[in-house]
Amino acid sequence: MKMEELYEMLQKSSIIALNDIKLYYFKPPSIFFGIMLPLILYFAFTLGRPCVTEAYRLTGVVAVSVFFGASTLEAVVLPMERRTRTFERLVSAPLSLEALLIGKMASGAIFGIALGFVMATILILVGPAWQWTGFSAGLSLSPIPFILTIIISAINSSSLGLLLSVRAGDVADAMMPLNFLRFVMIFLSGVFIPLEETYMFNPSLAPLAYLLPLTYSVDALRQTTFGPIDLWKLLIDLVILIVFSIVLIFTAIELVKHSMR
Amino acid sequence: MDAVQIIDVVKHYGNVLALDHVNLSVKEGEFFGLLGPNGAGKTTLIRILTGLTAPTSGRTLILGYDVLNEPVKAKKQFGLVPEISNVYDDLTAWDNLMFMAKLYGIPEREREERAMKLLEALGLRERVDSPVKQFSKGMRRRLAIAAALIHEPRILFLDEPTSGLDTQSSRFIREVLRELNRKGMTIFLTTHFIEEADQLCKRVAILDKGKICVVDTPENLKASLQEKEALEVIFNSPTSIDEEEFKKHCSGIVRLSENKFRFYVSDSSSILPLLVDFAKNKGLKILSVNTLKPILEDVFIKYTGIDPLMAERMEQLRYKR
Repeated sequence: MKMEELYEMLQKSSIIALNDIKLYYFKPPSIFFGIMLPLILYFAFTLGRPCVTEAYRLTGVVAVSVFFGASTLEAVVLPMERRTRTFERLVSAPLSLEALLIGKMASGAIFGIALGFVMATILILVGPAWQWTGFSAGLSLSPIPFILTIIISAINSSSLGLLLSVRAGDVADAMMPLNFLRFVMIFLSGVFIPLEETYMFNPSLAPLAYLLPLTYSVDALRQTTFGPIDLWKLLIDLVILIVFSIVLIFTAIELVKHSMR
Repeated sequence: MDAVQIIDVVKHYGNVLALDHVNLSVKEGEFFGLLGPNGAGKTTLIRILTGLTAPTSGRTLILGYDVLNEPVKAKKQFGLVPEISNVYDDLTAWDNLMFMAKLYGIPEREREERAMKLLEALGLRERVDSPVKQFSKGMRRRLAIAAALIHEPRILFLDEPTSGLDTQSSRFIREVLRELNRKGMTIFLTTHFIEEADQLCKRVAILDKGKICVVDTPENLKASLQEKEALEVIFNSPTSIDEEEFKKHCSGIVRLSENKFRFYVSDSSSILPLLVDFAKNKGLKILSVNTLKPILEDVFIKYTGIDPLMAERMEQLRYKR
């Protein structure tokens, strides 16, 4: 692909993403599944599991905010656009399917990134003052790797949302499999509970965690907020997330192409 | 150069054959109509032409660009107005046009000028800042047309552009389309309103069960039926007619309503005495008898073999002669 074509593709993707931001960020399903649900989960684990450490609460809630926020938007946008046929308007416009779906993915990722940063800021800055978090003592934030981790995790989560929503004709059709997968991932990826504890009674199931991208997001987030950073481990986490994202996006593109045949 | 070329297009949906080796070409500047009953394959063909669906086999070219292999170049050449006006409800008319203009890469100042002109021409200037969700069906359709024209395409595809609209909106849209065609734009529309195609199109194709039955000008198609006259008879009360009784004198009978029938005859004078006898025997009165010249609907019926019930429904839908 020539540079000019790449520039045009990214330009059109950004137009699609900006339109989605304008139209869908404040839709009720985006707010409920993207903002309320991670908060509910946070409080469930804080009140119901007092043994969970503050470090896990912080990284858990940031990971879940990014994960839910980024994956929710596609499950709202794509079925709504299919129902109103505005998705067809975009398909008949002069842009590649790749540019269109990358634009859709980007709007979800930006939603997840924004939520992740808002949650992290609240918990890091305001939390200690309210004394419902106590990580100021153990916090060892590495800003650039932390920002990079949030961005890559959001892209990965949005790609998952894209794949599961790309053929859905209704928001519920997309949300059902997505929520199933999201809850399974939250419980199996060591989000609020360390992996060793999660698989304490059945260690043979532990490899399952490494098949789920959220495990790598959580690990990278934990390294970049509480340290210590193991550079190779962090790099592997991020590379695996990028590979997952590429596979998910290309599978979504193929699914759309297949539906057009 | 041909504006639209459809080369041996076949489309299967599972086991259903939607398009069966369709070949068609439309010249630049032409006003072309694709006629056919519901389910004939009209929308499928327009979806293939606009890159929304891929054909199972065959090729489609838009001003020489292959829709499958050069989709971006092909899509720059046309605008599409689908049957459902797919504009964004939560955006204003203005924002809808701006969004589409950005997608087509139109510079900022130019996009604003074009949008204002289009909204003016389509009678939406007053509602420029209103959210589309407050628009009537006719206004939404006009906005969909404006959105399809924002990049000044050379070809405009319209799928049932006046379907479900009131007479005033339909008339306005027809006038806009005539004007666009006068300025040189190629118009390709699908419709099941036969009179609409007759009024607007320079050439029409009749598509039935996925096959093109005939392509010609409406005048030539009607002329091809000149040997047929039609006699429309209205009785005072509902009745049924045994085709066998009239077999010798007419080539077909279409029941238009319970008491209204159309007889296709070679010589109307020969069947009149029979009709008078028929009415007398059945105790009926003849309320009116009209001789009719062939219209495009007759051509449509001839090629699609549409059943009388369908003809009756179409009769209710179409304008009175």
